[in-house]
Parts: sequence; structure tokens; C-alpha cells
Amino acid sequence: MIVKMDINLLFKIAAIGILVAVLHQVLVRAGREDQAMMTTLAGLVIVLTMVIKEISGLFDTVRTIFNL
Amino acid sequence: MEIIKIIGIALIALIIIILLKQYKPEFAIYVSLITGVLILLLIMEQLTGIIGLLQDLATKASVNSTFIALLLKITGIAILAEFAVSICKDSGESAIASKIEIGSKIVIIAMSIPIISSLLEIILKILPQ
Amino acid sequence: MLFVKYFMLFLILVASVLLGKNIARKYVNRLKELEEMRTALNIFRSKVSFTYSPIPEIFEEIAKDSKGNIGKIFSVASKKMEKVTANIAWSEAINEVDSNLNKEDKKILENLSKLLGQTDVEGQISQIDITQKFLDNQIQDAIDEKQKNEKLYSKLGITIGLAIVVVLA
Repeated sequence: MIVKMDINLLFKIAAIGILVAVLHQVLVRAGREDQAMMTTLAGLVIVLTMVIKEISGLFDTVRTIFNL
Repeated sequence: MEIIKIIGIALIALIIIILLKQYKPEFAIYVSLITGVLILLLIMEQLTGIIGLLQDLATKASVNSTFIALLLKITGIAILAEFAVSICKDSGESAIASKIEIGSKIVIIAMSIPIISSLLEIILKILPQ
Repeated sequence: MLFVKYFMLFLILVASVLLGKNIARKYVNRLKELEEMRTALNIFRSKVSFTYSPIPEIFEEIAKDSKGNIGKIFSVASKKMEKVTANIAWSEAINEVDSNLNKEDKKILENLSKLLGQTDVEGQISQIDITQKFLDNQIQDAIDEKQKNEKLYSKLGITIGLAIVVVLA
């Protein structure tokens, strides 16, 4: 089973990272450090869920190809 | 043209990582992870052909098919372990990386026990009594 | 199908940007309304001390002069005064009109009504003076909050909208 995925995911993660950085900056400027940290955390979790899906896809592919 | 795809993905990922490292280094690791996954998946498509050829050759040369299967498994383990090890090293966790290396080596040795033992048997047969 | 998806994403983006702008505008509007209320009270004070027209008439004149929600508060209050006493009409008008003032502002303005139409001119004027002093404090507070929050919420709206679009795209 070859998992079809594309370069879009890379751009998506980059966009989320930049947006989280901007949010962090804005919130820190406004003196809301705790919310800034929470947004960073939320961004990390969102990206992590997307990344984990792809990693499991890779593992499945390797497992089927090499009969592991 | 798989190679152009791979190079393209790698270069784009490089630019994204350089960009992200200034602002949020946490996300840069994810990008490099995904790049690794993407490139490996691209390679896997090619690998199926190579593996098919190998199995064909093995059946024609009437090599014990369990050995070929074992060999393939070991290659798979090595690829996955290498993937994890390089990610750990990139993130600066060389201790965990070396543990993964040790683990993969031990698993590979444990899996290749039948091959080693049959090799020893062959040697014993060849040796004059 | 793809077009519908991108259209929806665009709608989400627009909605979140507008939401951020709306929240940001509330802080601007609160400051504007507080200042408007202060000038309105100034007019009220001079009218109470120099003309001896009844309060509903004064209120109606103020309502004509001032814009937006503040004008509405005064006109509602003057209409209500035909049926109930001045202080009840005033506090009801403040709470009924959908303004951008927060609870504290409303409480201060309600305090004004306690002496409204019940004491002599001197007492009312001093009451108005006290209310204006409190309003000054609130205006300062509103300026601080506006500076802190106005840009924050508009930027927050844009970035959160973009983030949602990126995640769903």
C-alpha cells in the first residue's frame, strides 16, 4: 500500500508554524504570555496529529513492502 | 523523474526549515520529519520493483525463500531504524539515537540466527572430519 | 466540489476577520460613547443650571444633539419619563439601549439618577459633577484598554482565521 501524499503537507506545516509565531508575537506584545504559550502548544498538537498520520503511513508501507 | 521530485522536496523543505527556525524551532523538526517521510515514501515506490526482481531471481536460482524473506525484513528494519536515528540526531538527542542503533542491530542479529546457524552447518559439512 | 470547499474556507476567513474587527471596534466605540456621554452631561449640567425647563425636555434636546447610542439613551429616557419617575426612566434607558458601555460604566451612570429630579438644582449639579469625575476615570481606563486590545483583536482575528483555513485546506 503506497500512501499518496504530497508536498502540500510541508507548506501546511510551514504556514501553521508562521501563523503560530505571529500569534505568539501579538499575544506577548499584549501582555498575555500564558495564552501565547497555549497557542504554541495548540499549534504543536495540530501539527503533531498531521505528522503522526504520515509517519504511520510510512511504517505501513515499509511493513507491507518488506513483509515485516 | 523521481530524483527531481526528491530533490525538489528536499530543497523546499530546507527553505521552510530555515524560515521556521528563526521564529519557532519546534515546528522545524516536524518539517524535517515530514520531509523524511515523503522522500522515503517516494523511494518505496521504486523499491517494490527491485524487491520483485530479487524474489524472481531467488526462485529461479532456487535459493531458500525464507532466507530471502529474512533479508528483506532486515533491510526494512535497517531503513526504519536509520530514519529514526537521523531524526534523533537532528534534534540533538544522540543518546537516544545510539540506543535505537543498538536496538536495531540486536533485532537484526536475533532475526538472522537461522541464517547464521545454517551457515555454520554448511561450514561444518565442508570441513573435513 | 473543490470550488465549494474553497468558497467555504474563504467564508470562514472572512467571518473570523470580521469577528476580530468587531471585537476590536467595541473598545473604540466604548471610548467614543464615554466621551459622548461626558459632553452630553456637560450640556445637561449647563441646561439645568441656566434654563429651568423640565428634565424630559432637556433630555430630548440632548438626544437631538448627540449621536448614536448616547442620543438613543437620552431619547428613550425622556420618552419613559412620561410614565415613570425620572430616576427609574434613566436607569432603565441605560440598561435597555444596546450600547458598548460595560457594567461599571452603566453603574456609574445609574448613580446619576438617584438624585435626578428629586433635589434642587444645586444638588443635581453636584451629582452631575461627581458622575463626570467618575466618567473621566472610566475614559482613562477605556483609552488604556483600547490601546492594549484594539490591535490585538483585529490581528488575532486575521491570524486565527488563516490558521483555521490552513488546517482545513
